Amino acid sequence: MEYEAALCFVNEKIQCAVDSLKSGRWIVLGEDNIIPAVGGPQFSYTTKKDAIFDFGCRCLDARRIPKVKKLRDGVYEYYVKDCDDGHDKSPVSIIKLTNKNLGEYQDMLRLDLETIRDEELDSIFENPLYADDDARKEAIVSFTHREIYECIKANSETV
Amino acid sequence: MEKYQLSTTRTFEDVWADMAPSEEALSSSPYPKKEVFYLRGDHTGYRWYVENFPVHRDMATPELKHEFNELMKDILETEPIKSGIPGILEFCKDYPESVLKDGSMNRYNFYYEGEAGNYWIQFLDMPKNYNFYAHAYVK
Repeated sequence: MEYEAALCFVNEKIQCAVDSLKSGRWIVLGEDNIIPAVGGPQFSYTTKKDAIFDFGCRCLDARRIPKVKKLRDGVYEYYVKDCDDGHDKSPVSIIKLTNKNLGEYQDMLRLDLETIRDEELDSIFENPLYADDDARKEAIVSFTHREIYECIKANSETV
Repeated sequence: MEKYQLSTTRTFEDVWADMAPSEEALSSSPYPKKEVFYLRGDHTGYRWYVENFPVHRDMATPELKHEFNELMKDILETEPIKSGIPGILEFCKDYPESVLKDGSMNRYNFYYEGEAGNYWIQFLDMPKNYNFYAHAYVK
């Protein structure tokens, strides 16, 4: 698989991931990126409760009842209590996607995934282990499954 | 900004009432039927790098394009916005009513009612991301 073909292949997957963000769904926003779900890079949730539950599991929230503050309609802050030291970590935002903010969050996700894509494709194409065409193709498919495919699959099951 | 006076209150809410996917647009999500195109920008540290995205290109009149270009020039090539995120923060601190807090990110909304079209200007203060959006709508 040549670089151009690999790029097209991964771009299709990125487009699917971006399109999986839809108005009405919820995302978890960290300091500078959309945080994917635990167990697979799913980037949005059907409900706020799902988003909070998933992020709580990921961070091992020590609280039985999550500490969530409403900032405004569709925007909440979730404070995870560290299970080791008992202090609150920096909050993440739980945000409802709307027609007004969807475009910016899709752009944010696309930018993140394109950065991952560039780094990953460069390392695959520079790695002598993947000099063989079949091995390289397998590495690229494996990367897209890991980073992107599971998210598409998960979203298509819940939407 | 020297030539244009942006508003924080003249929101064009009617724009959001009628939405549909656009074949020309980057995403398959619905867009306002009145949206002609939008501009997305990020600051390299030295200058703004902007890209234009069509939504309904056939509605773009020469007057609207001209007005949009003049407005963008006035915003992006004039201090303090010219200097990127620090400039955005400096400009927006005089308009606390413009801010919507999305947790770690603030979004600042401004509007301009022109003669050829209406415009929604948005600044975002998250680093390593796009920090500027300008949407053009037909009246």
